[in-house]
Amino acid sequence: MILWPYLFLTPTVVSTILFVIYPFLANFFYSTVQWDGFGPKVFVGGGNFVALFRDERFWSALVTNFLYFIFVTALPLFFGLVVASVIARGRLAGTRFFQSAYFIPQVVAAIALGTIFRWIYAPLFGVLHQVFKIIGWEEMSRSWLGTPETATTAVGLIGTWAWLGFCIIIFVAGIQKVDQALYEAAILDGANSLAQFRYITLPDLRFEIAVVLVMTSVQCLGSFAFAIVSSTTAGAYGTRPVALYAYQLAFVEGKVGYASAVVVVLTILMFAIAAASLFLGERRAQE
Amino acid sequence: MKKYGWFSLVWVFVFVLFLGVVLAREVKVLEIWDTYTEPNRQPVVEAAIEQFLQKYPDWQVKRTARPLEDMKTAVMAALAAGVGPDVVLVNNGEHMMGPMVRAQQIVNLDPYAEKYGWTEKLFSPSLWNRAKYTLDGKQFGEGSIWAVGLDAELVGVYYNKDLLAELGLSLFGSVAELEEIMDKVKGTGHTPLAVGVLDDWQFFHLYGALQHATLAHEMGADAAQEYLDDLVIRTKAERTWKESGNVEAAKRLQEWVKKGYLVDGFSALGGDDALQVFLAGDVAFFLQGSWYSSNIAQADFEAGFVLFPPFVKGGDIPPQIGGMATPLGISAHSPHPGMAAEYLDFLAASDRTVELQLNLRVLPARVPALLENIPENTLYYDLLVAWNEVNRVNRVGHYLDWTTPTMWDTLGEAGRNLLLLRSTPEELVEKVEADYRAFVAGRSSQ
Repeated sequence: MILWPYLFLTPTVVSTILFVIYPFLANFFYSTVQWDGFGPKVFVGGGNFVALFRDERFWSALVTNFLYFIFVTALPLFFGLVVASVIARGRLAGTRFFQSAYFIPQVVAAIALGTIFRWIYAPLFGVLHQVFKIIGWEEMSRSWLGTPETATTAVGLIGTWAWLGFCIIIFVAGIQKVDQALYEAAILDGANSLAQFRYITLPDLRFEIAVVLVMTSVQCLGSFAFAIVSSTTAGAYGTRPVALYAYQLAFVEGKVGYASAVVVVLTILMFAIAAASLFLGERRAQE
Repeated sequence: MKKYGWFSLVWVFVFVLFLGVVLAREVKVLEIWDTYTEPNRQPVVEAAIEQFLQKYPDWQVKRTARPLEDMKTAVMAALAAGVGPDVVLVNNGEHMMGPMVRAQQIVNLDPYAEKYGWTEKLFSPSLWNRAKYTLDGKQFGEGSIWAVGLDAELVGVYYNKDLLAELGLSLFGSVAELEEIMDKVKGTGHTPLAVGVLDDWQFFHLYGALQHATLAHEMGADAAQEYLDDLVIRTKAERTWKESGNVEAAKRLQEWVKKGYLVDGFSALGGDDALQVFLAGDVAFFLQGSWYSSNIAQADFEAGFVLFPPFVKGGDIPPQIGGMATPLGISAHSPHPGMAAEYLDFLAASDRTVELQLNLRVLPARVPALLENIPENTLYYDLLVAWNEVNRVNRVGHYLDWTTPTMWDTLGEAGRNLLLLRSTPEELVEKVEADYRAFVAGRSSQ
């Protein structure tokens, strides 16, 4: 009888070993070789990693990822908390509508989001350009995706928009599970809305914040940023994140070993951020 | 009961025996992995398979078609494991062909090219260089043939005939005349040139066309072709990007930007966006490849296509950017390379292929393209005339990003800065030269 739970776990364990652990280990092996994808693999030890730390293009991509972290993680987290507080505690009419409306971007494929925003940002025929034209602010119109000063922000804001809804849903669920008696007691003690948020809502949302941090930062470093950037600017004007750089190295420049080293660093970063977020969540829980 | 039991056993025995005989029959399968998923290529592939099966009815064909990068990944995994198809994707240059030749994973096609007469029937010699590597895989553009493409592509200038007629302008015969016309178009409030450099390759084509023409003017057309072959394809150490023609072309391009010849917001438009801008009818020219011709043929206005002009009127035709479709080769692991070669011949060189390609409005690999059944004064007619002309003079120029594996990044960024007027033409050439030297040095140290 005691074997039953393991039987149910087996498919997940096997698929995790096959599709997560094995590829990661294989990738780690590839990161120690020089390989063009076809010929013999030449062992170079840590050579790829040494080269990586001297690679300007890698650092530039990492800085871009940091900027995306602000847009895809920090901004949705902040505004998500604000909007969720208003929705969950404000007893507004049409709460479900707002939740659904904010969540819609989550069900749209990242590539489609990128294409939609490429049209929104486009000069001449883009929606934003037309709006500025209608309200008489034509001089405000820019080649949003076509200049280094605005391209990263324009791409990053797509991430903000896409992940805000996810944050709101998680935070609303978190706020709704907070014991209402705490708020009532705080009101009796004369706490204003800000104090209630600071001393009741925020501490009680530690797990939700950890979840949001893990999910958004992993997306920011991984597939989401990759898809959005490749469908908007293809990495032009300083918008290329590390994941897209790894793709370029492996499939355009034929440096599979070196690209694997980039992916190893990326994976370690993801693990570190996830571990730190979960650790903070756990620690706050113990406090 | 016992009697029926024996009876059943005999039947089972007979059935198993029959199954064994059937399975023992040798099933001969030709496996093909290509990237020809486009609607104007799919029928050509299907027809080639049909011809193959008609000639060899005891064979089967198993074809898998996927987008380029997906297929490249699959090919890398399969060939490294010693398995995979008979006919395999072999993208040109260091993207795939070089590493595959060095790893001895593809078959030298020289004997088949000779057997089927490919080099006489298909493409011009300058284009065949793209399918060549030395036997050791160290030198691109020389040596043996390793792959063949089923059709071709050519970059040139699409123009809006209606708009030019409305403005009373005739077609250009030189770069100077092109600029004169663009100036006049600009003066009337229309847009001279649609381009979208958010896609780096649009810059490569724009700069490349001007560069090829400028070099041809300074060096002579044939010398320019030789220089470009050495620079982009062969990456010869003795060649340099620091030729005045390269700088001059960049200077001229910046002038075009300053004079407002390029469509507003060109830096934030992609290639397909620029196409839409051109199709809107308010733009005189669109410097792009033949792959857009079917879209442009559907435009509400009458469109034409011409080669990028020589620098001065009456000058030799400069090298024109073009290429062959992403080519296919034969896997070294294939047990029947001869059959794979036969399929490639059906695919690229058969009469049926040419007939279909002319119907599908693509540029056939077999040159010269026959014009008899193509209506004159159509976009496709213009394209075929241009394609024949380029092959006649044997001047197929190059995609500049092929120069080194990192050139896409280097030239892309340098080009964007050039067009945003944030760097000088000399700086562009310096950056590209540095990339070139680094690649040459790395290669010679191997």
